[in-house]
Amino acid sequence: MRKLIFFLLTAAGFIISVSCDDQVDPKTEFREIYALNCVIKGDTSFQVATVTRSYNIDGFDPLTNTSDPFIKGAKIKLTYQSTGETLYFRDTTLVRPEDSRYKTPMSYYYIKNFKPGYESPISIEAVLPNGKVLTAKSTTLFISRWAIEDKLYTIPLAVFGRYLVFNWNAATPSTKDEKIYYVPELIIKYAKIENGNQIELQKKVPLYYISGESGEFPLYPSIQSNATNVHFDTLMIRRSLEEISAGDPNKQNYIIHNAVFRLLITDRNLAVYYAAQKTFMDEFSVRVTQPEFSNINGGLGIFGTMNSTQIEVPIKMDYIKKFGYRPF
Amino acid sequence: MNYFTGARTSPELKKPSIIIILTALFLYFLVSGTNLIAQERGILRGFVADSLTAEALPYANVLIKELNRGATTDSRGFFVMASLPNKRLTVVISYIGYRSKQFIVDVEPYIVTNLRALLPSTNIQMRTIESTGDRIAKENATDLSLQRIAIRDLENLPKGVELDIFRSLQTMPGVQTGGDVSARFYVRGSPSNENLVLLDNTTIYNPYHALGIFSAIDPDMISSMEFYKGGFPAEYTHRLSSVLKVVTKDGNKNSFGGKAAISLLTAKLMLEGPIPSGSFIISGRKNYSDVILKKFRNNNSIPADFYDLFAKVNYSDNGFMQDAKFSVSMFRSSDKILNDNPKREDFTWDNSTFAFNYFQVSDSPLFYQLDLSLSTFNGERIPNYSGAKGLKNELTDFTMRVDFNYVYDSKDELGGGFKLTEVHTNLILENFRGQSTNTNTRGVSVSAYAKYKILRSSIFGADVGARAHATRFAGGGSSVFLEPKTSFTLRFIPEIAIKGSWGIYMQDIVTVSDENEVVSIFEPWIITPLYLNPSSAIHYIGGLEITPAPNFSMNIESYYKIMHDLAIVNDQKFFETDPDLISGSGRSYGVEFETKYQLDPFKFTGSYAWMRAFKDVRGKVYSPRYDSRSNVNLSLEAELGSGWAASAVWSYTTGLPFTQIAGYYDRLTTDQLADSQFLLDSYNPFVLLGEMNTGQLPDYHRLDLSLSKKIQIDRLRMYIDISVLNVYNRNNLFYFRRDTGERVNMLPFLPSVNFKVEL
Repeated sequence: MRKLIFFLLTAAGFIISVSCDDQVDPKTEFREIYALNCVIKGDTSFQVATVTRSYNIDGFDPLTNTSDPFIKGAKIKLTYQSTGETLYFRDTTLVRPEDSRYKTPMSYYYIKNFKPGYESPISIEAVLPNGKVLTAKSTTLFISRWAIEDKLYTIPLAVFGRYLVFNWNAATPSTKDEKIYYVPELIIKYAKIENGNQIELQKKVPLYYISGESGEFPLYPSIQSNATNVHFDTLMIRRSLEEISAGDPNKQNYIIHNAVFRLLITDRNLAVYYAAQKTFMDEFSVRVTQPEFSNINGGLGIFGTMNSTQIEVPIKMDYIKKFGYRPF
Repeated sequence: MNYFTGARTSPELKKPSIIIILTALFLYFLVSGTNLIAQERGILRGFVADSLTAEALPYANVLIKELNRGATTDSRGFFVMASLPNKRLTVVISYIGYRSKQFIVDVEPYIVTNLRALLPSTNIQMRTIESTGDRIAKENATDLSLQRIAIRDLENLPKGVELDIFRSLQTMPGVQTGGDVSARFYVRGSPSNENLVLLDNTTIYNPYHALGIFSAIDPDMISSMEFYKGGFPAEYTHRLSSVLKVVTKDGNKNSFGGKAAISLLTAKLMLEGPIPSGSFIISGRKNYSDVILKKFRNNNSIPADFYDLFAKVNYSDNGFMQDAKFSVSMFRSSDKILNDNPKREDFTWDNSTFAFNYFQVSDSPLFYQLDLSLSTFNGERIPNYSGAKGLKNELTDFTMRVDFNYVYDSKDELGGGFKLTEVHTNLILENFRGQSTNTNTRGVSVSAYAKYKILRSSIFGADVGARAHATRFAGGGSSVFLEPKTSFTLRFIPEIAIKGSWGIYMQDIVTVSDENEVVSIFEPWIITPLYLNPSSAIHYIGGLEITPAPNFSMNIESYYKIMHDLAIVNDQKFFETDPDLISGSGRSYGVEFETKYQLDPFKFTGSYAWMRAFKDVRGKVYSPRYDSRSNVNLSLEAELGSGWAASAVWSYTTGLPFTQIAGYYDRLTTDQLADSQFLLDSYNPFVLLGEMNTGQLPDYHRLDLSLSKKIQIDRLRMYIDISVLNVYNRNNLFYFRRDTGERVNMLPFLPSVNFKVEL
């Protein structure tokens, strides 16, 4: 009997000792790392770069971080192989909106007068104030204005059909392993009159709407390497026009200019970076990691290139008036 | 001789000398097997069954007293003992939960003497002396890494919400689970899709209910299970890691009966009875409440609806065909998660099988069996208006297999067979843009195997065999593949046996499942794509069995497993043109201890397993999520008399690896590429992760208690089972949400009641 009591007491003691919770530490040692972001655009001579640092917080809501992670004082150099140019970014600041969690002006870097005109290798190097070096390479892209099929596009369609179809010629990169990725966009340009002032605005037409937890949201054409056309549903164009003044009874305050079809092209780095952010899980599955992509040596972020071309798509006056808007 | 003709880089696979030795051994014993008889000898073939129902009793112990020779019945209740002297012998047959019986048998030379042994059921526990036959039968058995489980063995364990066959596997060393919330099991460092689950020789592809929380196979329809943790013999193929073979009951051949059971989760009904020259069994189970299911998901609702149904008809008429048995069976499991809210996605998935089996006992000590089976799996994610993307997976498996087993006078056995499988898989995935990709593949696998079991010596047993694939479902490399396998047992003194096993295994049908998902609804199956080689593995297993007393045994096993060409979900798939799967490799090793001690009315089982597992993907080596270092299971069962039984099970597992947070950074988002300002205002916080799976979750442990009472009134039997899961309410961590820091725990303290009526 004594043995049994001893056994039971020992077992009970053991159970009590192990029944308390173990605390898990979801965080490991803080990893100090820097992200360089720069996308060289072929349709402008104003190029921008940013450098940010990683940060840590108490708890798990990163929005509680108020310490500005944007770094100033970095030396950023851009080397454009086709002309042999080496350009240095200048640093400046931008006043943030009032609702920003960071109260200091945002530091960023710019070059005013660089517009790549050729397809050519390009590289970037950022030397941070603490001596760390971030580098990356890419290829600038060229796209002809005539890449988009030259024909008469109008809204609504001039012929019978439901879809406004844009075709383009696939640009062929000279670098063998390089691929070009396309992002087509249809944009309605309009102005809103507020207090006598005309505010210029634009509205992007989605491919369609999908339903989510917080209602419907638009889905726009994504990046693809093998697409050479896009179909915009005339119902989506009409819905976009309606949404311009949704909830506003004064339709006459809206002036519709026209629409623009813009074809963006990106290099693979930027396309992958973009696609990596488009992952989806259903409600019941639980995944514990997220995909991440960076082509920055020594850190995170993205160094990519993009270019664009566009054509105008007139919107017929009668059609504009149907919505109660004023044609331009 | 090359046993593998595909383009391989692994030096481990290139061991032609081993193949030559195995082939030579096989041929030698094949020729010599019949020539050892120097005197007139006979053969005893027996069938052991329940006296009331005539249901076969698998793994019953058979002992010939005069010769001190033992045998064990197979999963069909048959045994064969060859090379017996021409005289009157006393055969003792015993089985757990049954009264032992003694039979006097006159063995005649050169003929097969048949014995049909019917054992009456009893409440009295098997005495240790009665397991002598089992011990003797195991002297030279090549059973390394094999666990044979009669369903009665499980009945005294805590049932929890439901008695579940997959959860019962978790108590075995070397078997790891994803926790309370998943019945998926991981064997010796391999993912769950490398486990073969066979229901009466028919593959079940997704044998889980309700997000994988329970198995879809109702224990009430099961007669026995065989579970190979590795080193499985040549009759099994198309998986790398383990085999779970489930054998169903035939149904009561003597009288009509039924069972009705209710738990807090399901209600079920089983009917059985005789038909002319045969029997039938129908079993169905349906959930009726999600009160318990919510406990598995942090009290979040799971609108799950599931059922399973099994039916089997057996026919055996000597007037029609001597010593033949035919059976036709069907199984269906169906799950639905249907939300009332159209803005949430729905899920449906189901398994269906239809099988025909023909089993023949011949005049010589030969058994052969023909199986024709059709197995389908369908799974679908229906997005509704949720914004989720559609997914549809269809699989059809038609298999014809023939197996035979011949027992030589020398006690050696020759086995062989042929298998033809046609598999059709279809996977339709919708990407973020709403575009569908359709992977539609059909493949045929034709293979044959032969194996020779050397059992002529009482101290040495070996199993040498190989399966040759003439074609494979698909995948790169050569269509020819050889899977050589061998295992041995050397018992140099009665109390100690050394065991070893080696084999090469192939798998060319895989699931597209992300191992970083801690919960997934179902795992879609596809034939290995052409751009990948089929996966292969090599098992090296060693073991030591120590039996110092009839009621005390210890087993030690260690293994080393190398895996090549593992199909891994491509986590860097960003475009439709990127492959869904990429090739990786892996290895795992470990050591397992198990001890059993029986002192009436108590039975104690304790096990400890230590293991390591690694995967190498894109040159990065990491521990997969199921790499649990240490695993302890202790169980104590007691038959308290008068129909009372009690049990306690304590499980401990070292915390599983996970990837920790190393900080945050503001990531540039590229939703608005055309916006000239996007580089200046499109930043959102993003979690910065540490090295993959280098963190460790807290250890898992749990104590479950059970008390059950059996009440018998004439033919009516009632079972009441009260179980308490997680007695000390340990907060075992399932996962935490990185975005909120929310801690999601596994099952809390959970009392449960099961009630079953049997007639």
